[in-house]
Formats: sequence, structure tokens, C-alpha cells
Amino acid sequence: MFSDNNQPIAQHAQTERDAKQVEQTEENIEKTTTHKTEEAVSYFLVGLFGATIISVLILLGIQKGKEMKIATYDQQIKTEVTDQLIALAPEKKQMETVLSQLDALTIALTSRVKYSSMMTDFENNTFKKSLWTNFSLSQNTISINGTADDYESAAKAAASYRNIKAVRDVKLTSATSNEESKKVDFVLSITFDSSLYKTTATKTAETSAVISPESTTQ
Amino acid sequence: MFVTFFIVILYIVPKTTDLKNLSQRAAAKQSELEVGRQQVAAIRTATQLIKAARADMDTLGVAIPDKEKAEEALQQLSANASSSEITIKSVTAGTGQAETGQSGALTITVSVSGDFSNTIAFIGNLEKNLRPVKVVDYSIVASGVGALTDTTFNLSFPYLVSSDEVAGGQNGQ
Repeated sequence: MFSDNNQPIAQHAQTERDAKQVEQTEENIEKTTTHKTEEAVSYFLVGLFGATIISVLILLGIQKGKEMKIATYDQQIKTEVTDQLIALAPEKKQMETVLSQLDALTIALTSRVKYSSMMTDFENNTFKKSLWTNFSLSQNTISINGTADDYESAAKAAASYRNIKAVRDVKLTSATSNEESKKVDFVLSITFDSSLYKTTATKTAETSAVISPESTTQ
Repeated sequence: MFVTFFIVILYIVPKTTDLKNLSQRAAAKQSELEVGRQQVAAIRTATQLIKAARADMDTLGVAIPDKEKAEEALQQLSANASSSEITIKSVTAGTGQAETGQSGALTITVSVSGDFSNTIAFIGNLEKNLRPVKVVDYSIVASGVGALTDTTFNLSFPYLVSSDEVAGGQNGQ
């Protein structure tokens, strides 16, 4: 009878013990989990810090490398360019002089007009019954003072110059009968295109292109 | 964590920008070096060409002298007149205005006398003159004795104006 009454009490005590054990186990698990999380965060932070430090070191290394590269370039520019250009200054000046001479020569030859050809054209197209007494040229204008046997010849003399390709206009300014010589004195004003008698300077331009340093430096 | 954050914000980010600038500077220096090397090489090549063509350079020096050299122009005119069989009656020299850039002009007024055909030959020889002559204007007057003519030419001979003179002239303006 006594033992039968004690059995529920014993069971209750066992249950309490079990509950405590479960509680303790839960606490242990929680502690362990918390500890592991903290440990992982610590590892992460240490890793992050380490990675940051490594990044800083890498950046410093790269910076140093770049600075050394720039210093090397500076030194090379000084020895291979600046010093050389100072040493080559007379040659450079000579080269620039030659280039300027070639440019001036090209301009001079390009603007040169073959007046001898022009004169030959005028000579060949002068009406036979007329003569020049004065032939003046200035830029693209020619003034001819001449004499002809009669007015018709003077008019023909003016017309004959129109056959020249370079002649743009012929104006008979005056025609006067000369009592003394029994001839007609006339004055012509002729405009012409001198560019048709210009010479070219291709060869000089080619030489300039060969010698010019701009083709490589620019 | 905060230390890392501050390192990234205050050091790594600015440093990255610095490195970018350094890279650009290095590229610019490299380019400058290459251009400079090419310039030096071009000067050396040009110098060798000039040395190899010494005779041509001397001729070029006569064609476009570095001064007015009126006496050389007169010598050339005199030789031309002799070969064309005409007589120089008078010569007046002056300085013309620079045509373009470093080119100046010596102006010469020359009066000649001779046969018409010889005068034309004189003009033809002017066109072949070593120092290129620009005929500015001319006037041929029949003397009334056969084919004899009196001619006055205004001629222009180019010469090189030194860069110092050009700069001086520009400053003066």
C-alpha cells in the first residue's frame, strides 16, 4: 500500500529531472550556437580586415610601380629626347631653314609666269600692218601703244589679239590719225589671265614632303 | 568592421583614383617619349639627307638666300643681259614686303636696251634664273631705230627672312 502511494511521486521527480536535463541541454545548444556564430563573425571580420590590408598593400605596390615607371619615362625623356634635342639644335635649325627655303622656292616657282611665252603669243598674233611703239604689262593688264597703216588696220590689230587663249578682253582706248607719219596711232587695253602661263613646282613640293619631319612627329 | 570601413572609404577609394591618374600620367609620358624619339629620329634623318645632298643645298642657298643679297641678283642679271646681248642701263634695288611667312622680297628696277628679240630672250632667261625671279611689271618702248627697244622691268627676288626678324617684325606691329 505504501509503495503504491509513492510511485506517482517518484514519477513526478523523474519528470522534473528530465525537464531540467532538457532545459540544460537546450542552454548548452544555445551557448554552443551563439559561440559558433560569434566565432564565424570574428573570422569574417578578421578576414575582411586582412583582405583590406592586403588590398592596401597591393595598391601601395601598384602605386610604387607606377611612380617608378613615370620616373623611368622622365629619365628616358631627358636622356633620349630633351638632351638630344638640345644637342641637335643646330641641325634642327638647319633643317627648318631648308624647309623654309623649299617652301619659299615652291611659292616663287608656283607664282612664276612665263612672260616669254606670252610675248611670243602676242608677237605671233600682231596684225601685220601694225607695229608696237610701247608694250606695258602690269599684273593682268597690258597696254599697247601702236601704229597702223589706217583705221581698219588698227581695228584688225585689236581684233587679232582676241585669238590668244589667255586674253579675256581687248579695248581699243583711242585711235588717232598722225599727220606727220600719215599713219594711225592707237592705244589698246588688254586684260588677260596670267595663270595660263604659270609654271608648276611639283618637284620641289615632293622634295619638301620627303624631308619634312612633321610626317613622323605629328 | 568600422576600421575596415574607414580604410576603404578614406584610403582605398582615393588611392584608386590616384592610381588611375598615375596610369594616365604614365601613358602620357610614354606617348611623349615616343613622339620625342620620332622627332629626334626625324631630325637625324633630315640631317643625313641634307649632308648627302650638300651640292643641292648649296644651290638652294643661292636660289633662296638668307639675306637680300642684291649683289648676287645683280650678277645674275648682268650674266643674263650678256648672254641675251642687251645692255643694262640702270639698276635700282629696294626691299619689298614679305610675301608669305618667312619669305621676303628684294625688288629691283632694271632698265635695259637692245633688240626686241633679245629683250624677249632676256625675259626667257629670267624664267630660268637660279634664283626665281618674279616679273612684277615691265614696259617695252620702241626707240624708233630699227628693232631697238628700251625696256624697264620691275623684278622681285625672294629671300629668307630669319625667324628672329619675323618675330621682331610681328612684335613691332
